Amino acid sequence: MKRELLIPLLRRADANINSVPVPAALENRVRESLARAQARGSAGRQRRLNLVFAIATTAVALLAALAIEHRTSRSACMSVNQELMSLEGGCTVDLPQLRIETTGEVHLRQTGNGFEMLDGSALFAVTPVPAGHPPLRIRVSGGTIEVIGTRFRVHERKTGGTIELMEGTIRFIFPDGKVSVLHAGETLRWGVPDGSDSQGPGAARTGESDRAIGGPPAAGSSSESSIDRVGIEVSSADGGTNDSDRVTDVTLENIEPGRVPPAADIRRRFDALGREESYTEAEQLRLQLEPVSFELGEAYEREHAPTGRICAHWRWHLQRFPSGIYNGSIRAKLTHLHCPSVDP
Amino acid sequence: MSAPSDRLDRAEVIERLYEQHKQAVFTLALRYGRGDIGWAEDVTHDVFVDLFDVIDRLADTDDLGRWLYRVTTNRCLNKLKRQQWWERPLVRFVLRSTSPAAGFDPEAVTIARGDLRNAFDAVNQLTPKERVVFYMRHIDGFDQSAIARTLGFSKGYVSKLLKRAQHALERQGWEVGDET
Repeated sequence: MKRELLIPLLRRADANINSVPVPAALENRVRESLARAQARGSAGRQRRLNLVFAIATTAVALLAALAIEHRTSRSACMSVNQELMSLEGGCTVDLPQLRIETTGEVHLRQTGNGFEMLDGSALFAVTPVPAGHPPLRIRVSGGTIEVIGTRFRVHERKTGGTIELMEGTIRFIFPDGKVSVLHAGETLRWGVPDGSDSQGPGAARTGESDRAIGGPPAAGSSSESSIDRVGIEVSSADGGTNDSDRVTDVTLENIEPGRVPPAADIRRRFDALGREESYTEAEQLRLQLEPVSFELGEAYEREHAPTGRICAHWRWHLQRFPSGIYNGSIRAKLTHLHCPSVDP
Repeated sequence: MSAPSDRLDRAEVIERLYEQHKQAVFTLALRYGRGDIGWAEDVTHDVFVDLFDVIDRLADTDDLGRWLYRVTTNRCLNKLKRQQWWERPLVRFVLRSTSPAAGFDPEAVTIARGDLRNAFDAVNQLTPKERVVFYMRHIDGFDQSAIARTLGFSKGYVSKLLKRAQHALERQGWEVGDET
Protein backbone atom coordinates (compact mmCIF):
# COMPACT_ATOMS: atom_id res chain seq x y z
CA MET A 1 0.00 0.00 0.00
CA LYS A 2 1.39 3.36 -1.00
CA ARG A 3 1.89 5.73 1.88
CA GLU A 4 0.59 9.27 1.67
CA LEU A 5 3.17 12.06 1.68
CA LEU A 6 2.77 14.05 4.86
CA ILE A 7 4.84 17.18 4.31
CA PRO A 8 2.94 18.61 1.29
CA LEU A 9 -0.37 18.10 3.08
CA LEU A 10 1.00 19.68 6.21
CA ARG A 11 2.22 22.69 4.24
CA ARG A 12 -1.23 23.20 2.80
CA ALA A 13 -2.83 22.84 6.20
CA ASP A 14 -0.37 25.39 7.56
CA ALA A 15 -1.18 27.75 4.71
CA ASN A 16 -4.85 27.45 5.61
CA ILE A 17 -4.05 28.25 9.22
CA ASN A 18 -2.16 31.31 7.96
CA SER A 19 -5.32 32.59 6.45
CA VAL A 20 -7.22 32.58 9.76
CA PRO A 21 -7.55 36.23 10.75
CA VAL A 22 -6.51 37.46 14.17
CA PRO A 23 -9.70 37.97 16.20
CA ALA A 24 -10.51 41.63 16.56
CA ALA A 25 -11.17 41.15 20.25
CA LEU A 26 -7.55 40.23 20.76
CA GLU A 27 -6.41 43.68 19.77
CA ASN A 28 -8.53 45.26 22.49
CA ARG A 29 -7.32 42.73 25.00
CA VAL A 30 -3.68 43.43 24.16
CA ARG A 31 -4.28 47.18 24.25
CA GLU A 32 -5.88 46.95 27.71
CA SER A 33 -3.03 44.84 29.01
CA LEU A 34 -0.48 47.26 27.62
CA ALA A 35 -2.33 50.13 29.29
CA ARG A 36 -2.25 48.28 32.61
CA ALA A 37 1.43 47.51 32.15
CA GLN A 38 2.04 51.13 31.34
CA ALA A 39 0.26 52.21 34.53
CA ARG A 40 2.19 49.76 36.62
CA GLY A 41 5.48 50.70 35.06
CA SER A 42 8.51 49.17 36.60
CA ALA A 43 6.98 49.31 40.07
CA GLY A 44 4.74 46.39 39.27
CA ARG A 45 7.64 44.36 38.02
CA GLN A 46 9.58 45.21 41.13
CA ARG A 47 6.61 44.21 43.27
CA ARG A 48 6.47 40.86 41.50
CA LEU A 49 10.17 40.35 42.08
CA ASN A 50 9.74 41.30 45.74
CA LEU A 51 6.91 38.83 46.05
CA VAL A 52 8.99 36.05 44.50
CA PHE A 53 11.89 36.95 46.79
CA ALA A 54 9.61 36.96 49.84
CA ILE A 55 8.15 33.57 48.92
CA ALA A 56 11.62 32.12 48.32
CA THR A 57 12.92 33.52 51.61
CA THR A 58 9.95 32.15 53.51
CA ALA A 59 10.41 28.75 51.90
CA VAL A 60 14.10 28.68 52.82
CA ALA A 61 13.31 29.75 56.38
CA LEU A 62 10.67 27.05 56.71
CA LEU A 63 13.05 24.41 55.39
CA ALA A 64 15.76 25.58 57.79
CA ALA A 65 13.32 25.49 60.70
CA LEU A 66 12.23 21.99 59.74
CA ALA A 67 15.85 20.87 59.46
CA ILE A 68 16.69 22.31 62.87
CA GLU A 69 13.57 20.75 64.33
CA HIS A 70 14.54 17.47 62.72
CA ARG A 71 18.03 17.64 64.17
CA THR A 72 17.14 18.69 67.68
CA SER A 73 13.85 17.03 68.40
CA ARG A 74 13.74 13.71 66.65
CA SER A 75 11.22 12.09 68.80
CA ALA A 76 8.41 12.74 71.21
CA CYS A 77 10.37 10.79 73.83
CA MET A 78 13.21 13.28 73.64
CA SER A 79 13.25 16.73 75.14
CA VAL A 80 15.97 19.26 74.52
CA ASN A 81 16.69 22.08 76.92
CA GLN A 82 19.58 24.10 75.52
CA GLU A 83 22.46 21.59 75.45
CA LEU A 84 20.84 19.07 77.77
CA MET A 85 18.93 16.21 76.20
CA SER A 86 16.60 14.01 78.20
CA LEU A 87 15.52 10.72 76.70
CA GLU A 88 12.83 8.54 78.15
CA GLY A 89 13.25 4.77 78.46
CA GLY A 90 12.57 2.78 75.30
CA CYS A 91 13.30 5.79 73.17
CA THR A 92 15.04 5.61 69.79
CA VAL A 93 16.59 8.78 68.45
CA ASP A 94 18.20 9.06 65.02
CA LEU A 95 20.76 11.78 64.70
CA PRO A 96 23.25 12.35 61.90
CA GLN A 97 25.79 9.51 62.15
CA LEU A 98 24.30 8.25 65.40
CA ARG A 99 21.36 6.24 66.69
CA ILE A 100 20.61 6.15 70.39
CA GLU A 101 18.34 3.49 71.88
CA THR A 102 17.60 3.90 75.55
CA THR A 103 16.62 1.22 78.01
CA GLY A 104 16.02 3.66 80.84
CA GLU A 105 15.94 7.39 81.26
CA VAL A 106 19.10 8.94 79.85
CA HIS A 107 20.52 12.43 80.17
CA LEU A 108 23.05 13.67 77.65
CA ARG A 109 24.77 16.97 77.21
CA GLN A 110 25.90 18.04 73.76
CA THR A 111 29.61 18.82 73.53
CA GLY A 112 31.81 20.04 70.72
CA ASN A 113 32.06 16.85 68.77
CA GLY A 114 29.75 14.51 70.59
CA PHE A 115 28.01 14.08 73.91
CA GLU A 116 28.60 13.74 77.58
CA MET A 117 26.53 10.96 79.07
CA LEU A 118 25.40 12.10 82.49
CA ASP A 119 23.39 9.06 83.52
CA GLY A 120 21.29 6.22 82.23
CA SER A 121 21.71 3.25 79.96
CA ALA A 122 21.73 3.44 76.18
CA LEU A 123 22.84 1.64 73.08
CA PHE A 124 24.83 3.78 70.65
CA ALA A 125 25.13 2.82 66.99
CA VAL A 126 27.55 5.07 65.18
CA THR A 127 27.82 5.06 61.40
CA PRO A 128 31.41 5.00 60.11
CA VAL A 129 32.99 8.41 60.24
CA PRO A 130 34.60 9.33 56.89
CA ALA A 131 38.38 9.18 56.80
CA GLY A 132 39.98 12.41 57.87
CA HIS A 133 37.00 13.51 59.99
CA PRO A 134 37.24 13.63 63.76
CA PRO A 135 35.71 10.71 65.64
CA LEU A 136 32.52 11.03 67.64
CA ARG A 137 33.35 11.52 71.30
CA ILE A 138 31.14 10.43 74.19
CA ARG A 139 32.34 11.53 77.57
CA VAL A 140 31.56 9.36 80.56
CA SER A 141 32.65 9.69 84.16
CA GLY A 142 35.56 7.27 83.61
CA GLY A 143 36.98 8.98 80.52
CA THR A 144 36.11 9.63 76.90
CA ILE A 145 34.99 7.12 74.30
CA GLU A 146 36.17 7.84 70.77
CA VAL A 147 34.24 6.12 68.03
CA ILE A 148 34.66 5.99 64.30
CA GLY A 149 31.76 3.63 63.71
CA THR A 150 30.52 0.76 65.84
CA ARG A 151 27.83 -0.33 68.30
CA PHE A 152 28.17 -0.31 72.03
CA ARG A 153 26.10 0.00 75.16
CA VAL A 154 26.94 2.41 77.94
CA HIS A 155 25.63 2.24 81.48
CA GLU A 156 26.41 5.36 83.43
CA ARG A 157 25.59 5.55 87.13
CA LYS A 158 26.64 7.67 90.05
CA THR A 159 29.00 4.96 91.22
CA GLY A 160 30.64 4.34 87.84
CA GLY A 161 29.69 2.67 84.62
CA THR A 162 30.36 0.12 81.93
CA ILE A 163 30.81 -0.03 78.18
CA GLU A 164 29.87 -3.20 76.37
CA LEU A 165 31.32 -3.18 72.87
CA MET A 166 29.39 -5.23 70.36
CA GLU A 167 31.37 -4.76 67.20
CA GLY A 168 34.49 -3.09 65.93
CA THR A 169 36.79 -1.20 68.22
CA ILE A 170 36.60 1.96 70.23
CA ARG A 171 39.29 4.03 71.85
CA PHE A 172 38.97 4.90 75.48
CA ILE A 173 40.83 7.94 76.72
CA PHE A 174 41.53 8.03 80.41
CA PRO A 175 41.23 11.24 82.38
CA ASP A 176 45.04 11.51 82.38
CA GLY A 177 45.14 11.38 78.56
CA LYS A 178 46.32 7.80 78.15
CA VAL A 179 44.57 5.78 75.47
CA SER A 180 43.51 2.19 75.09
CA VAL A 181 41.62 0.28 72.48
CA LEU A 182 38.62 -1.85 73.35
CA HIS A 183 37.66 -4.76 71.09
CA ALA A 184 34.37 -6.33 70.16
CA GLY A 185 32.95 -8.49 72.91
CA GLU A 186 34.85 -6.75 75.66
CA THR A 187 33.32 -4.91 78.57
CA LEU A 188 34.98 -2.03 80.30
CA ARG A 189 34.01 -1.02 83.83
CA TRP A 190 34.97 1.99 85.81
CA GLY A 191 34.24 3.44 89.17
CA VAL A 192 34.47 7.06 90.15
CA PRO A 193 38.06 7.85 91.11
CA ASP A 194 37.22 8.70 94.69
CA GLY A 195 34.23 6.40 94.80
CA SER A 196 33.27 4.35 97.79
CA ASP A 197 30.78 2.15 95.99
CA SER A 198 30.31 -1.44 96.95
CA GLN A 199 30.22 -2.41 93.27
CA GLY A 200 33.57 -0.89 92.70
CA PRO A 201 35.83 -1.69 89.82
CA GLY A 202 36.23 -5.33 89.22
CA ALA A 203 33.86 -6.32 91.94
CA ALA A 204 31.32 -7.89 89.64
CA ARG A 205 33.75 -9.49 87.22
CA THR A 206 36.56 -10.66 89.41
CA GLY A 207 38.28 -13.57 87.77
CA GLU A 208 36.77 -12.85 84.36
CA SER A 209 39.24 -10.27 83.35
CA ASP A 210 41.56 -11.48 80.65
CA ARG A 211 43.12 -8.19 79.63
CA ALA A 212 43.62 -4.91 81.32
CA ILE A 213 43.39 -2.23 78.73
CA GLY A 214 45.88 0.54 78.50
CA GLY A 215 49.01 -1.46 78.96
CA PRO A 216 50.72 -4.79 79.00
CA PRO A 217 50.46 -7.18 81.86
CA ALA A 218 54.04 -6.45 82.75
CA ALA A 219 54.37 -4.73 86.10
CA GLY A 220 55.43 -1.16 86.36
CA SER A 221 53.89 0.28 83.22
CA SER A 222 52.47 3.74 83.42
CA SER A 223 49.09 2.67 82.09
CA GLU A 224 48.58 0.24 84.87
CA SER A 225 48.84 3.02 87.35
CA SER A 226 46.12 4.87 85.49
CA ILE A 227 43.96 1.80 85.61
CA ASP A 228 44.39 1.66 89.34
CA ARG A 229 43.44 5.27 89.71
CA VAL A 230 40.18 5.11 87.86
CA GLY A 231 39.46 1.49 88.56
CA ILE A 232 39.20 0.14 85.05
CA GLU A 233 38.65 -3.49 84.32
CA VAL A 234 38.10 -5.20 81.01
CA SER A 235 36.47 -8.56 80.75
CA SER A 236 35.80 -10.88 77.87
CA ALA A 237 32.28 -11.08 76.53
CA ASP A 238 32.22 -14.82 77.11
CA GLY A 239 30.33 -14.45 80.31
CA GLY A 240 29.87 -10.77 80.57
CA THR A 241 27.57 -9.29 77.98
CA ASN A 242 23.98 -10.02 77.25
CA ASP A 243 23.76 -12.37 74.31
CA SER A 244 20.68 -10.69 72.96
CA ASP A 245 22.66 -7.52 72.53
CA ARG A 246 25.56 -9.12 70.74
CA VAL A 247 25.64 -8.85 66.99
CA THR A 248 26.73 -11.71 64.82
CA ASP A 249 27.58 -9.63 61.76
CA VAL A 250 30.77 -7.83 62.58
CA THR A 251 31.16 -5.16 59.98
CA LEU A 252 33.97 -2.84 60.95
CA GLU A 253 36.44 -5.36 62.13
CA ASN A 254 36.37 -9.02 61.46
CA ILE A 255 36.76 -9.88 65.09
CA GLU A 256 34.59 -12.43 66.77
CA PRO A 257 33.31 -11.43 70.18
CA GLY A 258 35.12 -13.13 73.00
CA ARG A 259 38.15 -14.03 70.92
CA VAL A 260 41.51 -12.37 71.13
CA PRO A 261 42.13 -10.91 67.68
CA PRO A 262 44.88 -12.63 65.71
CA ALA A 263 47.97 -10.75 64.63
CA ALA A 264 46.76 -10.70 61.02
CA ASP A 265 43.66 -8.72 62.01
CA ILE A 266 45.63 -6.29 64.08
CA ARG A 267 48.19 -5.98 61.31
CA ARG A 268 45.43 -5.03 58.87
CA ARG A 269 44.18 -2.34 61.20
CA PHE A 270 47.72 -1.19 61.82
CA ASP A 271 48.40 -0.91 58.09
CA ALA A 272 45.16 0.97 57.53
CA LEU A 273 46.05 3.51 60.20
CA GLY A 274 49.51 3.88 58.69
CA ARG A 275 48.00 4.72 55.32
CA GLU A 276 46.04 7.57 56.88
CA GLU A 277 49.21 9.34 57.85
CA SER A 278 48.94 11.87 55.06
CA TYR A 279 45.60 13.26 56.14
CA THR A 280 45.36 12.57 59.83
CA GLU A 281 46.58 14.98 62.43
CA ALA A 282 49.89 13.81 63.81
CA GLU A 283 48.73 13.69 67.38
CA GLN A 284 45.54 11.87 66.53
CA LEU A 285 47.51 9.40 64.47
CA ARG A 286 49.92 8.81 67.29
CA LEU A 287 47.07 8.17 69.67
CA GLN A 288 45.41 5.76 67.28
CA LEU A 289 48.44 4.03 65.92
CA GLU A 290 50.37 3.62 69.14
CA PRO A 291 47.99 1.28 70.99
CA VAL A 292 47.39 -0.71 67.81
CA SER A 293 51.12 -1.04 67.29
CA PHE A 294 51.49 -2.21 70.86
CA GLU A 295 48.70 -4.72 70.35
CA LEU A 296 50.38 -5.96 67.20
CA GLY A 297 53.65 -6.58 69.03
CA GLU A 298 51.79 -8.43 71.75
CA ALA A 299 49.97 -10.51 69.15
CA TYR A 300 53.32 -11.44 67.55
CA GLU A 301 54.52 -12.60 70.94
CA ARG A 302 51.34 -14.50 71.66
CA GLU A 303 51.51 -16.28 68.32
CA HIS A 304 55.20 -17.06 68.82
CA ALA A 305 56.38 -15.12 65.80
CA PRO A 306 60.12 -15.27 65.10
CA THR A 307 62.04 -13.35 67.74
CA GLY A 308 63.73 -11.20 65.10
CA ARG A 309 60.38 -10.04 63.84
CA ILE A 310 59.11 -9.23 67.33
CA CYS A 311 62.30 -7.37 68.16
CA ALA A 312 62.14 -5.43 64.89
CA HIS A 313 58.56 -4.39 65.63
CA TRP A 314 59.33 -3.26 69.17
CA ARG A 315 62.34 -1.31 67.95
CA TRP A 316 60.22 0.35 65.26
CA HIS A 317 57.65 1.20 67.90
CA LEU A 318 60.22 2.87 70.18
CA GLN A 319 61.57 4.91 67.28
CA ARG A 320 58.12 5.91 66.02
CA PHE A 321 56.77 6.82 69.48
CA PRO A 322 59.79 7.99 71.49
CA SER A 323 57.55 9.26 74.29
CA GLY A 324 54.98 6.47 74.04
CA ILE A 325 53.08 5.34 77.07
CA TYR A 326 54.07 1.70 76.58
CA ASN A 327 57.78 2.29 76.18
CA GLY A 328 58.77 1.12 79.69
CA SER A 329 57.05 -2.16 79.11
CA ILE A 330 58.50 -2.50 75.62
CA ARG A 331 62.05 -1.94 76.82
CA ALA A 332 61.51 -4.66 79.40
CA LYS A 333 60.30 -6.95 76.63
CA LEU A 334 63.35 -6.18 74.50
CA THR A 335 65.55 -7.14 77.42
CA HIS A 336 63.53 -10.25 78.14
CA LEU A 337 63.72 -11.37 74.51
CA HIS A 338 67.46 -10.60 74.38
CA CYS A 339 66.87 -8.32 71.41
CA PRO A 340 70.02 -6.60 70.17
CA SER A 341 70.23 -3.03 71.44
CA VAL A 342 69.45 -0.23 69.07
CA ASP A 343 70.73 3.28 68.81
CA PRO A 344 68.19 5.94 69.77
CA MET B 1 12.70 62.56 28.32
CA SER B 2 10.64 61.85 31.43
CA ALA B 3 9.72 58.36 32.52
CA PRO B 4 5.94 58.65 31.87
CA SER B 5 6.51 59.78 28.32
CA ASP B 6 8.98 56.90 27.97
CA ARG B 7 6.26 54.50 28.91
CA LEU B 8 3.79 56.25 26.65
CA ASP B 9 6.19 55.92 23.76
CA ARG B 10 6.79 52.34 24.58
CA ALA B 11 3.08 51.45 24.55
CA GLU B 12 2.67 53.17 21.22
CA VAL B 13 5.66 51.27 19.84
CA ILE B 14 4.19 47.98 20.99
CA GLU B 15 0.82 48.74 19.45
CA ARG B 16 2.52 49.55 16.16
CA LEU B 17 4.57 46.37 16.34
CA TYR B 18 1.45 44.42 17.21
CA GLU B 19 -0.16 45.57 13.98
CA GLN B 20 2.90 44.52 12.03
CA HIS B 21 3.49 41.11 13.59
CA LYS B 22 0.20 39.96 15.07
CA GLN B 23 -0.65 37.65 12.16
CA ALA B 24 2.68 35.85 12.25
CA VAL B 25 2.55 35.35 16.00
CA PHE B 26 -1.09 34.29 16.02
CA THR B 27 -0.59 31.84 13.15
CA LEU B 28 2.38 30.25 14.83
CA ALA B 29 0.42 29.88 18.05
CA LEU B 30 -2.58 28.50 16.19
CA ARG B 31 -0.39 25.90 14.52
CA TYR B 32 1.18 24.68 17.75
CA GLY B 33 -2.10 25.01 19.62
CA ARG B 34 -3.71 22.38 17.39
CA GLY B 35 -5.98 24.97 15.82
CA ASP B 36 -7.40 26.17 19.15
CA ILE B 37 -8.15 29.87 18.56
CA GLY B 38 -8.56 30.74 22.23
CA TRP B 39 -5.25 29.06 23.01
CA ALA B 40 -3.55 31.01 20.22
CA GLU B 41 -5.10 34.28 21.42
CA ASP B 42 -3.67 33.75 24.89
CA VAL B 43 -0.21 33.10 23.53
CA THR B 44 -0.31 36.10 21.22
CA HIS B 45 -1.49 38.36 24.03
CA ASP B 46 1.25 37.15 26.39
CA VAL B 47 3.96 37.53 23.75
CA PHE B 48 3.16 41.20 23.16
CA VAL B 49 2.85 41.94 26.88
CA ASP B 50 6.29 40.34 27.28
CA LEU B 51 7.52 42.53 24.49
CA PHE B 52 6.40 45.60 26.42
CA ASP B 53 8.74 44.63 29.28
CA VAL B 54 11.77 43.93 27.11
CA ILE B 55 11.44 46.27 24.18
CA ASP B 56 13.97 48.69 25.67
CA ARG B 57 16.52 45.92 25.94
CA LEU B 58 16.12 44.66 22.39
CA ALA B 59 19.13 45.88 20.49
CA ASP B 60 17.56 45.88 17.06
CA THR B 61 13.82 46.10 16.49
CA ASP B 62 14.43 45.44 12.80
CA ASP B 63 15.14 41.88 13.81
CA LEU B 64 12.00 41.72 15.88
CA GLY B 65 10.44 39.09 13.64
CA ARG B 66 13.10 36.58 14.64
CA TRP B 67 12.72 37.51 18.33
CA LEU B 68 8.95 37.07 18.13
CA TYR B 69 9.33 33.74 16.35
CA ARG B 70 11.69 32.49 19.06
CA VAL B 71 9.63 33.77 21.98
CA THR B 72 6.33 32.56 20.52
CA THR B 73 7.71 29.11 19.76
CA ASN B 74 9.20 28.73 23.22
CA ARG B 75 6.06 30.05 24.87
CA CYS B 76 3.96 27.56 22.90
CA LEU B 77 6.33 24.75 23.79
CA ASN B 78 6.21 25.60 27.50
CA LYS B 79 2.44 25.90 27.41
CA LEU B 80 2.13 22.56 25.62
CA LYS B 81 4.42 20.90 28.16
CA ARG B 82 2.36 22.25 31.04
CA GLN B 83 -0.78 21.19 29.25
CA GLN B 84 0.69 17.73 28.71
CA TRP B 85 0.97 17.33 32.48
CA TRP B 86 -2.63 18.43 33.02
CA GLU B 87 -3.73 16.06 30.27
CA ARG B 88 -2.33 13.01 32.03
CA PRO B 89 -5.13 10.49 32.61
CA LEU B 90 -4.57 10.37 36.37
CA VAL B 91 -4.58 14.16 36.72
CA ARG B 92 -7.66 14.44 34.56
CA PHE B 93 -9.36 11.72 36.58
CA VAL B 94 -8.50 13.44 39.86
CA LEU B 95 -9.59 16.87 38.62
CA ARG B 96 -12.56 15.47 36.70
CA SER B 97 -11.47 17.64 33.78
CA THR B 98 -12.83 17.37 30.27
CA SER B 99 -11.01 16.75 27.02
CA PRO B 100 -8.29 19.32 26.36
CA ALA B 101 -9.14 19.61 22.67
CA ALA B 102 -12.48 21.26 23.38
CA GLY B 103 -11.39 24.57 21.84
CA PHE B 104 -10.48 23.10 18.47
CA ASP B 105 -12.79 24.02 15.62
CA PRO B 106 -11.60 22.57 12.26
CA GLU B 107 -14.06 24.67 10.31
CA ALA B 108 -12.76 27.81 11.93
CA VAL B 109 -9.21 27.04 10.91
CA THR B 110 -10.28 26.00 7.42
CA ILE B 111 -8.62 22.59 7.41
CA ALA B 112 -11.77 20.55 7.57
CA ARG B 113 -10.89 18.72 4.34
CA GLY B 114 -10.15 15.09 5.14
CA ASP B 115 -6.56 14.65 4.05
CA LEU B 116 -5.36 18.01 5.45
CA ARG B 117 -7.16 17.33 8.67
CA ASN B 118 -5.59 13.89 8.90
CA ALA B 119 -2.10 15.29 8.35
CA PHE B 120 -2.67 18.02 10.94
CA ASP B 121 -4.02 15.50 13.45
CA ALA B 122 -1.11 13.13 12.85
CA VAL B 123 1.46 15.79 13.75
CA ASN B 124 -0.62 16.88 16.72
CA GLN B 125 -0.25 13.41 18.18
CA LEU B 126 3.49 13.93 18.57
CA THR B 127 4.88 15.09 21.89
CA PRO B 128 5.15 18.90 22.22
CA LYS B 129 8.90 18.94 21.62
CA GLU B 130 8.69 16.56 18.68
CA ARG B 131 5.86 18.56 17.15
CA VAL B 132 7.60 21.92 17.44
CA VAL B 133 10.90 20.57 16.13
CA PHE B 134 9.15 18.77 13.27
CA TYR B 135 7.30 21.94 12.17
CA MET B 136 10.43 24.06 12.42
CA ARG B 137 12.39 21.61 10.30
CA HIS B 138 9.87 20.57 7.65
CA ILE B 139 7.52 23.54 7.36
CA ASP B 140 9.65 26.53 8.39
CA GLY B 141 12.79 25.06 6.82
CA PHE B 142 15.25 25.61 9.67
CA ASP B 143 18.32 23.41 9.86
CA GLN B 144 19.05 21.48 13.02
CA SER B 145 21.56 24.02 14.34
CA ALA B 146 19.08 26.87 14.03
CA ILE B 147 16.38 24.83 15.75
CA ALA B 148 18.80 23.97 18.55
CA ARG B 149 19.70 27.64 19.02
CA THR B 150 16.09 28.78 19.01
CA LEU B 151 14.88 26.23 21.55
CA GLY B 152 18.02 26.04 23.65
CA PHE B 153 18.52 22.34 22.90
CA SER B 154 21.65 20.58 21.75
CA LYS B 155 21.90 19.72 18.08
CA GLY B 156 22.05 16.04 18.96
CA TYR B 157 18.83 16.29 20.93
CA VAL B 158 17.10 18.03 18.01
CA SER B 159 18.25 15.24 15.71
CA LYS B 160 16.90 12.68 18.15
CA LEU B 161 13.54 14.44 18.39
CA LEU B 162 13.29 14.60 14.60
CA LYS B 163 14.02 10.90 14.27
CA ARG B 164 11.47 10.05 16.95
CA ALA B 165 8.87 12.23 15.25
CA GLN B 166 9.56 10.64 11.89
CA HIS B 167 9.28 7.12 13.29
CA ALA B 168 6.05 7.98 15.09
CA LEU B 169 4.50 9.40 11.93
CA GLU B 170 5.66 6.45 9.84
CA ARG B 171 4.07 4.13 12.36
CA GLN B 172 0.82 5.99 11.69
CA GLY B 173 1.23 5.15 7.99
CA TRP B 174 2.63 8.45 6.70
CA GLU B 175 5.52 8.93 4.31
CA VAL B 176 7.67 11.63 5.85
CA GLY B 177 10.64 11.57 3.49
CA ASP B 178 14.27 11.71 4.47
CA GLU B 179 14.73 15.41 5.01
CA THR B 180 16.14 15.17 8.52
